[in-house]
Amino acid sequence: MKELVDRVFLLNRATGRFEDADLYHGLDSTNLAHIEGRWRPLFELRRREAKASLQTLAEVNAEDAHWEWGKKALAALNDPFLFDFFVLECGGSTQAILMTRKGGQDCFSRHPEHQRLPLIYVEFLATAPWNRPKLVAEPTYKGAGRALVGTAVSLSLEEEFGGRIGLHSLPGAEVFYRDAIGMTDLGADSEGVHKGLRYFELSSRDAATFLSVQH
Amino acid sequence: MKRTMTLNLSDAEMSVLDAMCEEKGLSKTALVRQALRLYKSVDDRLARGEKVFVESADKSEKVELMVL
Amino acid sequence: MKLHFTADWLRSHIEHDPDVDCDAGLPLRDAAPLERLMQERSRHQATAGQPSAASEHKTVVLFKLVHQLRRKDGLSIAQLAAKIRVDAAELEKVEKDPCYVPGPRTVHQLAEFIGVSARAVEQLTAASSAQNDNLTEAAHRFAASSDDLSKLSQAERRDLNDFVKVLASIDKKNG
Repeated sequence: MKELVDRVFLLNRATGRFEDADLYHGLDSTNLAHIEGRWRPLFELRRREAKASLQTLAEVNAEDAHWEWGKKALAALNDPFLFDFFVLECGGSTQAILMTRKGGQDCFSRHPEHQRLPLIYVEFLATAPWNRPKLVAEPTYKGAGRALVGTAVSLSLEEEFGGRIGLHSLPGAEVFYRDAIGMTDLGADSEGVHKGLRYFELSSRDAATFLSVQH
Repeated sequence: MKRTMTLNLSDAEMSVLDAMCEEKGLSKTALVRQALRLYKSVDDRLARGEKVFVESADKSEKVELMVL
Repeated sequence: MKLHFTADWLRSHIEHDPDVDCDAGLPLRDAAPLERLMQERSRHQATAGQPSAASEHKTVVLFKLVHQLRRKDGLSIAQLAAKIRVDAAELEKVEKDPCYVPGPRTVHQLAEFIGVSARAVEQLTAASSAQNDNLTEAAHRFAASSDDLSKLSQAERRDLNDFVKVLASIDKKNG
């Protein structure tokens, strides 16, 4: 059901140390059990706490509307021929999941440097709730987003798409994709399932920069 | 696992394939693979009873894609 | 798949990246939508000829069908093989090896014996790519029915007859 791609790292914020993390292609029932048994209760707990402390759900990135719409969007995706899953496991738990699309709608570049060229579209990149700085006060692991975006870019290169990827950032993550990853902000969608979300693309040129620059 | 096949194309079809590979920066294999993915994703939607439309750039005309 | 970044690259960036959310596409709060996608995927893989739980299930059903048919008529493997003019060794493989796909002649002879089309029987083998929901559901029900070696009980006889009816109805739909 899933196979190991490589061993990568996540930074444990509590210890300040890097820990080995396994990156898998595909996902299995263990990952689903983690999401259902560990992710979901924490989301629900945090939502109740936010409501009690008069924080808005938007402030903690836990709006019900987003999830309802997300479920509908996922329900529409039923052609596994086009999709790949990647999961990141560390510390005995599923830390993040990436779902990519490699053909059909959304896989045509909108970037002015190479419009209509094929790209890998990130259907979703989801991190465990305990890793999200907006959701919990002391998030556990850092780096899942960076490792999975690197994975999507790698898949794009393997597919001969020049490292091009596209995605819709969820509210609060725009700064990560624009400033940390170096993607181009092509504005918010005015219609469709991602209405209101900003669309980002990593061009072929930016993908080369993304992979070559090191601090 | 990957499998190899021979494809018989006319000169005209081959020149379109060459031109698209050049334009998209893809090998012939990658281009055919992308075409198959697109074809299948559209065909699956049509098979489910959904409709696929093509709209003109100025949005004045919208044509339903009946057959691919 | 090969990763196009190095461990050093990843470490140095993680240290310098801002401490912000990075979720994209759509929020994932529970596993239900992914479970459905995974079911689609295993169905897809089965039709692509790769072994999966679904394809094993179909073979188990074929084994069971042959087994119950023999019990119904009180026939040994050799007797059934002689009756339908197929190799007894092959019939034994159908019953005993979950991955075994019988040859076209055996499929045809079995179908004739049951009174359905060869196409319907072929859909119960691991080599089949076509199995509609109706047949899968019926096959699941049939597989779940009891399986002892004594004579068929009334309930087992009913399960067997019901399943053969579903097979026969699929023949009609497919022409």
